[in-house]
Amino acid sequence: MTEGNNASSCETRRENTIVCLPVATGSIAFYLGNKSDTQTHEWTLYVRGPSGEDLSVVLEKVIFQLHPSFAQPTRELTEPPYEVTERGWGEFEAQIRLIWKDPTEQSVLLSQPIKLYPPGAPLTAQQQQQQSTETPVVSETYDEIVFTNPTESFYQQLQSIGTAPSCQELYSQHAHFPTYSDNEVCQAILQAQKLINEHLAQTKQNLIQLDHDLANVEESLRVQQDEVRKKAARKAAQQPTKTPATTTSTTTAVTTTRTSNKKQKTT
Amino acid sequence: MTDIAEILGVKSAPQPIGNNKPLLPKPHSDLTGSATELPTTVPTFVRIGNRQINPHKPARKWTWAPFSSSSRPDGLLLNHWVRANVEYPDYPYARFDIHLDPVQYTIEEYKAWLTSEDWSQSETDTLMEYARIFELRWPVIHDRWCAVCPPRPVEDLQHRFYTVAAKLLQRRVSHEAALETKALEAVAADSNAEDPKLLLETAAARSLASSDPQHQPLMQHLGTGTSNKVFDLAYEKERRAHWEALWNRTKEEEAEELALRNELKQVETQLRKLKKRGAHVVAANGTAASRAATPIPAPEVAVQQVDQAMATTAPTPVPGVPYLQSARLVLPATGGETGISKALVARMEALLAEMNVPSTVIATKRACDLMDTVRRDALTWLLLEKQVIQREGVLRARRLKLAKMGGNIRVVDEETLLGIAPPPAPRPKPVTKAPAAPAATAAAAAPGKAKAPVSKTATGSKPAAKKPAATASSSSTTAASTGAPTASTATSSIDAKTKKPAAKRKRKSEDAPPALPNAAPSSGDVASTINTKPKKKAKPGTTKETSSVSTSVAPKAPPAAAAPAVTTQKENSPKKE
Repeated sequence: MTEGNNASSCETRRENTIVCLPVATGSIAFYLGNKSDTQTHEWTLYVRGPSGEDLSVVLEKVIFQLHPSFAQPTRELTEPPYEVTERGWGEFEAQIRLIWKDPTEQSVLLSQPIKLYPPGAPLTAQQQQQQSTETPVVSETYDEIVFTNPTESFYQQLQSIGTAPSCQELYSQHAHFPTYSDNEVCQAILQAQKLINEHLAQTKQNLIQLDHDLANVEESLRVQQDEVRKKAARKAAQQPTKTPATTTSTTTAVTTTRTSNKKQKTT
Repeated sequence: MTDIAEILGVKSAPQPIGNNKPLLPKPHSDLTGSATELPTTVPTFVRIGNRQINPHKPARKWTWAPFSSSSRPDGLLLNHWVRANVEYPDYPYARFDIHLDPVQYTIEEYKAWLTSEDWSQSETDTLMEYARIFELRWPVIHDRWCAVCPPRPVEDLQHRFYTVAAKLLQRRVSHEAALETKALEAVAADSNAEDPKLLLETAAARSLASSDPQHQPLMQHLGTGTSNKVFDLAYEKERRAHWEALWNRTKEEEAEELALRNELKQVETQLRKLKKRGAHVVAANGTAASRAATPIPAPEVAVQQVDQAMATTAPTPVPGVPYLQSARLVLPATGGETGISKALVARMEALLAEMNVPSTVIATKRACDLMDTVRRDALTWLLLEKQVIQREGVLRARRLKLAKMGGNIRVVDEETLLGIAPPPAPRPKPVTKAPAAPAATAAAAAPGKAKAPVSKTATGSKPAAKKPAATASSSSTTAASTGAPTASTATSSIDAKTKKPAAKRKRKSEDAPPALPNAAPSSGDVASTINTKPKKKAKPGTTKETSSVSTSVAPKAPPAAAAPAVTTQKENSPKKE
């Protein structure tokens, strides 16, 4: 397989392949104390592999777009550690664009807010004073980038990431990096799924039963409608004979007809 | 006659004859009283609009002067008021007298390029003259033309005029271009220089000179209002014909067209609505109703709907466009298109939260896949539950209808049927007949039970009529065969007591042969109790079974079960014996 940008554009892509590349972007901010108004915090914005993977195998470069109030707000980095450290006072949203070694893959734009203050209500004066210069405010986002049918060479590059040595040590703040595990979540979801499937099966049963019942009742209705019609016809025929009847005679007449019907039914 | 003055001998001056009335009457005046003595006043200031006129300044001077206009060919002198000491070079409105440049040709040009079969030279000349005089105002030209020459439609006149103008322009331009090429080539030959500008000009001139009319660029002769691309006669004729037809439409035709347009609008909106709500799902159900053979079962439809909904927000995998795994966690779109309402999605979220599933998970492939599946299942389940409720409603209504139709008797009361009748007063006597029936109705009244058992009891309580009793009990499949004839006998014996409205409620409960297809053993019991009804033998046995059945169905049943069954017993005894 030929390497190089020119070749990969006419390379064939793998079929039915999905590759998920885990990527973590985040900001770590340290409070600097009351020294200055404009530089109250020092923060680091970075992109890393969550388990310390070296992403430079697949990444051509990473472009960090900072707030325009910073000098040279567009910072390009072509090798790990992909991080930008600055001093400032304000929180903003930085855009991170990842350019891949494979030019046929579109660049990915991630948005990462720079968090200087711990999440929650705005700090009271007391809390502000308590801001420590040792414990940073870490805000990281885990995500995976999904490539569909990558080219063969790019695929090989992606696969080789797992085998390369970790470059986590290169990052200045690697001590504060969080770790990720999806085991608990998956367990919980599996449990929930089991329950729901049970409910679902039950409901499907109910539906079948209901359909059955409905069909039966419809049938009965039809039969009953026929009977009613027949009865009406019979009554119309019997009407002239019944006119002089008294109440008692009608009762007996009714009972006789009913008993006769009863006899019919029993036989 | 006898004047005192005469008598006294005094001679006075001669008196005037007549009275002192003035010769003319005084003119009418609004002034009355003392005002008539005052002198009239002149206003001290004059205001015109906002401007105050200063009375102390002298007024402007105007003179009545003669003038002529440069736009007039005949030098006619007219007079008008003019400011006295101001110089007027020309009549100020003469600048608006503008004319189009005339399109003129020599006889040679005509003979060379402009001859036509339909048009004689004199006709063409007249046309040109009229076009010049009337400034290309075609209605006027046409009118004047028809007064003078054999009539032609106006588009023919237009066509002739514009064709003449176009040909003239094109030929003249080509001619000049040819001359220019010759001149430029001469210059180029002389200088022998490779001046690019010169070469370009030569080339341009040559192309203009030699190209066909259709290849030449559009040149507008702005002065005459013509260009070298001819007037499209066919299009013009068609346009006029259309216009005439439009103008000459009758009222009926107009109304018809309006109606058709409205219909089209309605059909289009309906189509759009259908497309929005997933027409294929609707159509699938519709065809299922018509094709009795293989209806699409409800679960499949629900699954389809959910798939559609989830697909609206899920990222589509495209080679070369990587997407984020977290994009798969976005909730399905709600709204008319997908048929999934916001409420449904909210319920799904609530359900998952109950089961300790977080609303956002870490975006690993495994977690996202699982979230996807669990959401789909939850949505499907909720949709199917809705369908279950719907169908139960339909079933209930059908049964009600069936009961109502059951014979000439107003046997069934809706309240009991729907299970909201108050429980009847308890009676001391033991129970024989239809013990599970009141149990069934009471159970129907019990709201705590899930929907399934309720529907089954509803089945049980409903068939009150004598004849459908057979078919009704057949609906409770297990109890069918044995229960049928005896059930019908029981009900028919009850029917005799129709006329007592007081006992109506209890009768109803009796009428319902108990049918609990779910609880097969209990229905078996029930069937056996029905069997024992007319025999009135196993009273304690039936009581026992009653209680067992009622406990299996609903806790509230026993007292109710005892009471109506007892009444039945009481009523039946005179009847049977």
